[in-house]
Amino acid sequence: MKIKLRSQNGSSTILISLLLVTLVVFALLSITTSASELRLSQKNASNNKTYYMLDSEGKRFLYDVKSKINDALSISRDRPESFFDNLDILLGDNIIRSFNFDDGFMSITIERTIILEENSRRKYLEIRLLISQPASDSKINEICSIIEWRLWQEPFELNNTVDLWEGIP
Amino acid sequence: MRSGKKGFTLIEMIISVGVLAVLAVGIIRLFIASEVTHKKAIDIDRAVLETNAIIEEFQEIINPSEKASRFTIYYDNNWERSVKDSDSMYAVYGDIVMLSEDQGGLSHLDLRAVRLKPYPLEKSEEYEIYNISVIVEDMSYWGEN
Repeated sequence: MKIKLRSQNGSSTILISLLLVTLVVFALLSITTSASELRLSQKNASNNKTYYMLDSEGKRFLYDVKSKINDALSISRDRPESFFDNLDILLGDNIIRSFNFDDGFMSITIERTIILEENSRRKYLEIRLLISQPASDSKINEICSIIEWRLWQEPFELNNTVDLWEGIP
Repeated sequence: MRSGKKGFTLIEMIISVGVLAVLAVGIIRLFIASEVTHKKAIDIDRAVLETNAIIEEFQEIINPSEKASRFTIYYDNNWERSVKDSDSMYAVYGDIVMLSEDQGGLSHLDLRAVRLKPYPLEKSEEYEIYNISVIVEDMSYWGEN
């Protein structure tokens, strides 16, 4: 039996339509993927900005502490033993600190947490500074050392509870 | 008057090719828009990396405000540093100023990454990809005390 393949009117239209639909589908998929890539990149850029914003605030705080150490050094030039007393007065009430005595040497530990809220999520920069007893030729960067400079954010809590209907109308 | 032969007339062919051309242009524009969006995403990532590298360079400089006050770094199409020429595709503009007289040891570093040539199907000459402002510390400021 001989089968005769014959082009029907409209078959080319169907083929072209299918081709167009396929192309449109692939184009839309491609756009969706690249748009999500762009959103991810923007989020990464925003996180990076937040990091440096917190870091900058930390640097301001560090500078503030160093300038107070500088003032305390100037005041207690004639009486070096009064350095920590003068520094304690200059630091004021807003800076949380603790005094340590190790092997007869005194030091101050200063703690500060800087919080930044972004998109209802908090990011923290925890700073701990150690101020040690200055020697006669000590520089401020040697007196004030950074023990901790840590940035962290609230852990993300995944809401995995399924809202099921309990059968009560 | 029909001749009795099967086939398409010239008018039918012109109309069908015209309709196909219009649809094809629309689809091609969709693909180009997708490519441009993808390129923008890559550019943001690279701009973030490059600006971070510049910030870290400045953190290690002893006296940043003496090093430069205003600068421009040019990049080629692959985000490799290059000299300014017709092939330069991206630039990072930097501006460093002292924060205030009271805070002499701190400087403000502003960075702005731009694309110098427009993306396909776009007109803006200098497209801003990313910008960031940070504070850098002058390490030499307390050194003398």
